[in-house]
Amino acid sequence: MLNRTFLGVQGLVLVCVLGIATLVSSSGCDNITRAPRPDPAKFTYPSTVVADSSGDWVYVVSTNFDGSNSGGTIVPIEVSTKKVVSAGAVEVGSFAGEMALLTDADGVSTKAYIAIRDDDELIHLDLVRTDEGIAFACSESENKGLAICDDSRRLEVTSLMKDSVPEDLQEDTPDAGDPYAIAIGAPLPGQDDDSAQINPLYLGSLLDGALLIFTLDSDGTPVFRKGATLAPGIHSIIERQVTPRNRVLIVSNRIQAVIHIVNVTFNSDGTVDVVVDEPVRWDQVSSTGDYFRGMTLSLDGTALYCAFNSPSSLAILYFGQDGRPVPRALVPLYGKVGYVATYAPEPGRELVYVTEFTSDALYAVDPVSMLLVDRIPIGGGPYGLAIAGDMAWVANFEEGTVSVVDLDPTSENWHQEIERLK
Amino acid sequence: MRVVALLLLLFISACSDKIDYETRLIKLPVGMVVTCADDSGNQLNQEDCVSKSGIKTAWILDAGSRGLSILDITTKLHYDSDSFVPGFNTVPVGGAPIAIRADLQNVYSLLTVDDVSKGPSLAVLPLSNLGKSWDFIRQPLTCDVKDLALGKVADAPVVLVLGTCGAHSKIWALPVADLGDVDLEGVDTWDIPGIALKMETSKDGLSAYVTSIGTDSDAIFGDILSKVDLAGTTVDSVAIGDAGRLTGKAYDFEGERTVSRLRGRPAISPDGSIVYLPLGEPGAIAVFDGDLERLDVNATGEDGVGNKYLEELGFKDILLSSPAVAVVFVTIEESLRAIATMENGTFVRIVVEPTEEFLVTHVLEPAEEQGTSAASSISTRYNGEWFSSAYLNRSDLPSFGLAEIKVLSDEKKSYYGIEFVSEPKEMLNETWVVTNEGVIPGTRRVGTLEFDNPDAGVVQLVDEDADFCALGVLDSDSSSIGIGDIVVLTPNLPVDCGLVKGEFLEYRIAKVEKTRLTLEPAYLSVPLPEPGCFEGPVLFEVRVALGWSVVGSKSGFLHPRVSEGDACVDAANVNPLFNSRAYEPYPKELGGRVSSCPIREADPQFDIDVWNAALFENPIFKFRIVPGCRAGRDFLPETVPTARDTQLKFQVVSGFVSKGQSLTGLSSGDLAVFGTTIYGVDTGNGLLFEIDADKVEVVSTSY
Repeated sequence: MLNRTFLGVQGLVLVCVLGIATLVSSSGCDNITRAPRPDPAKFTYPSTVVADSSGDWVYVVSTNFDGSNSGGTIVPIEVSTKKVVSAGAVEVGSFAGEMALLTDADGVSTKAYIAIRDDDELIHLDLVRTDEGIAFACSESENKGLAICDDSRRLEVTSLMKDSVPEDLQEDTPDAGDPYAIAIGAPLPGQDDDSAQINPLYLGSLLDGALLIFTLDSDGTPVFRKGATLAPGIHSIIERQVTPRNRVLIVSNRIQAVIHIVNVTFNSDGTVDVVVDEPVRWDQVSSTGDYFRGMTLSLDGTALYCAFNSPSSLAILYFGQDGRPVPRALVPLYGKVGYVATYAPEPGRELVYVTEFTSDALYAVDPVSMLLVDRIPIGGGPYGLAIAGDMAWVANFEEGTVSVVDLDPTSENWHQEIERLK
Repeated sequence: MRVVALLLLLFISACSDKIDYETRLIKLPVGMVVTCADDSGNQLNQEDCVSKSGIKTAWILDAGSRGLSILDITTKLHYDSDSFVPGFNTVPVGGAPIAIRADLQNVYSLLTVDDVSKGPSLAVLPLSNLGKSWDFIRQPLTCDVKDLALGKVADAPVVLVLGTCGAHSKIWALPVADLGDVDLEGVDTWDIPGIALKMETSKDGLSAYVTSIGTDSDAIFGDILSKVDLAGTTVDSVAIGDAGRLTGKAYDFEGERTVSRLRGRPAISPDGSIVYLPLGEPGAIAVFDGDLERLDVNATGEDGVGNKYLEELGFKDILLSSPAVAVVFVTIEESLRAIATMENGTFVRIVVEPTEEFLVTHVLEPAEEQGTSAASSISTRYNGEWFSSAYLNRSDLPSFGLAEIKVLSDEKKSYYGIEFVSEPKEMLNETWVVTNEGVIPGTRRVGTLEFDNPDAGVVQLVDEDADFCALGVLDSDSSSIGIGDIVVLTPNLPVDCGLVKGEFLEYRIAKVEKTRLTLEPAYLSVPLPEPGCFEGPVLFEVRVALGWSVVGSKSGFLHPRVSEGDACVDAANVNPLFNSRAYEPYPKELGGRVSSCPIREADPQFDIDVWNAALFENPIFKFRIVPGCRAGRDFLPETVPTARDTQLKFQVVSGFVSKGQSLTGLSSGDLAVFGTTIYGVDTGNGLLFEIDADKVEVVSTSY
């Protein structure tokens, strides 16, 4: 009797253990279930915000950093109403980098270009005005639900550098993996006044330090022209026009304490010459391993403002005689600064706004007096930043929200977060 | 039992605190003051504090936490304003702080935005409340506040607030006794020209010195230093002026904009006779007397003191290796010195009053051990790519000769073909770039072509914002080789007007005037453009003709030319070595035949006079550009024509070492002096540091 009871208990335990084991193993083996499509009404680890040239829209890029969805999104927000227009959203790959907008000759933003780190891709999309306002389009066929891009709109960039050099040099030529930085340059001069507008597009690879130069043909498709190797860590790119065909690229590096300077010449025969100049270095005060991040030009174009993390500060540079940025001053800040944007509260005066990731803040710096004039608490983990409609729109990466901060000095809500979009 | 243990473990882990508390207590220090008290809590001034060994307290204004971080300097312990909240809590000041001061009664914090009023305010904390309450007295202010200081008006203590209203600025004197209820309309005020920046008062509190930036609507444009007589209404202002040839300027293609050099607060010597002003662009301390007379600290006298090179560059200040952040005066063994902190995280000591050891005033005190001036190895840029001479083995490229350090005498060496001719103290640490047919700095601009000169066939390039004379552009008359500089025009669209065609058009300068260049053909095949060929503004650049430009990152393009009316002339009393054009020697044979490759010194294929004449010399160094060579016809060596924009680059490091040390961080603008001890905050690392100004060393740092 005792033995049967014992065996009964043992058997029960065995059955339970086997059952649990079966359950565990079956769930582990069940890998055919796809991650759900992202919800365009939500922000999933948003990192980038870009303002439309009209100032009427901002576009928020969600990175899907935790891989919980099948991809990230770009979602339009109407500035005047602060309304998220899900109907205009599009699914893109995960871990998006920066996004840039192409404006036509009338100053209207017509296309968007986004770097996708996970797939090593450059995606180009159309911006279409609709009844709901605006929508991203990148597919020949009509999508049901959240739009998604055709393969024809996705350009794989990894091996572009290698493909453009002779075979005997390919082994020494790096890949262009992990594209992150992106910028669109001013239109190039055509062969005559009636020529269609052609813009350059610049793409920087975070992992391999490759700089890729494209021109955008008449339908906006990027055509690769030339590449150059800088150093791993490329974060942001700004173009400064020297002559219509000569451009200087200012490229921030987040892994090394340098700002790269690259001279680009777009020849009338379509060829592109690239000369990598000596980078700009700062007298280094500390070595945190995290250096230059987002950049912007002053409103009059004579100064460069850059988020710098070694030490945490706003780096102010001005352009010298030869067009090279020259270090001017560091305005001390605190934490991990990310992106910067300028805003003129009144004519002749500008403030520089800087996002700070660790203490969830937006700094306001007066670059003339080099004073930190305000620190505005916002959502968790702010990073990307754009200014539209006298408001700062900040992507809060950790929290999955967008903070809207009033910048109008005449407003009673000046320098306060007036909305947090979820 | 095991189950119970497991459950207990789960419970404990679930309850454990997962918050990572910050180790850094001072987040974003924007200012600091140090107060001192005796054992009874009576506040002491700086002199009494030293003699009575008072207890010092640092009040650090933290913009990160929007509060005051209070630190006992002796024990290094922070005061926690709220023991119920984990971690050390600063005392909230109730707004966005930018500046702090203290006297024997109160600590004053200037806020750009008060959390309650939403406007600027002054938050006053009575020291008598210390340890009892943290109630601030709030005084509303107006305009954009910039700085504050403490002074005296009619023998009564006042808080001076500096602010900018639109394009103009003002100082308000707020009586300390009435703070909280002061009506700003009824207080003494002084108008300050321009956009205000910083302010400091003299030790007696009767004068205030203010820095500001004058705009187009002000009588003085650019950086301004003003002295305010607090006993009256007088405000005297002087232009700080530029840094001579070392001036920092910002450029775009509409012209140049002067960049403000102003940085930290002025420092006034204890007797009020000297004012030191920290500057950037380049890093320097400008020296004034108490009546705002600028002292040229580099002027050379008959006794040979001074800095001849800086004097010739028109630079009047104490040159530093990095922008100055803050400066204070300190008395060491009855002699006045100054300590200046710089943006590169170091501090230096300056001789202010002469001593037996140092007869020269307003100079960086030299360190005991001095270095040797040196030049780095040469980098060569060819076809758009940089090569270091350490790895370069290309005799076909130009150079300064053999890439080696050669001992010339007991005290002199030649570095990779570069030989120094000046004293170490007169050399600037800078990078020199030598470019074949290089663009003259500042000449890449936008101009228009004019064809309406009465002289037929004359074409002129006009830029009304330019001063081509001051830029050093030469025409055929003023050029030592009789050939004018080259102008390269870049029209917006490729040109096609008969023989005038292409994306770039090159011409020579027949005549240079202040704002116009008269052009002549550079090539017989490319005539001057005719009216209608291309219209509108055209981008252009001016290049050195048939030679190399020599440009220092600080010294710039040295030359003697100035404008006199519209004409270009040589300035009076200019160093004849102010020279920025180097020329390669050319062999006797037209084919470029040389004796050997690489080309050796005194190669007989070169005329000795031509070889000697090719020696380039400026006030700092001399070198000779040796052409590249290769095996030519019949396998005999010959020179290689140098490609345009080929560059040779090197760095010059002065052997002068100043007395100073590293702070390892970026100091804020506030330094507090107690005897020979100086306190400051490191904004980069959130530290309070203590300097022994006598020994010139960092004594301690604390969080």
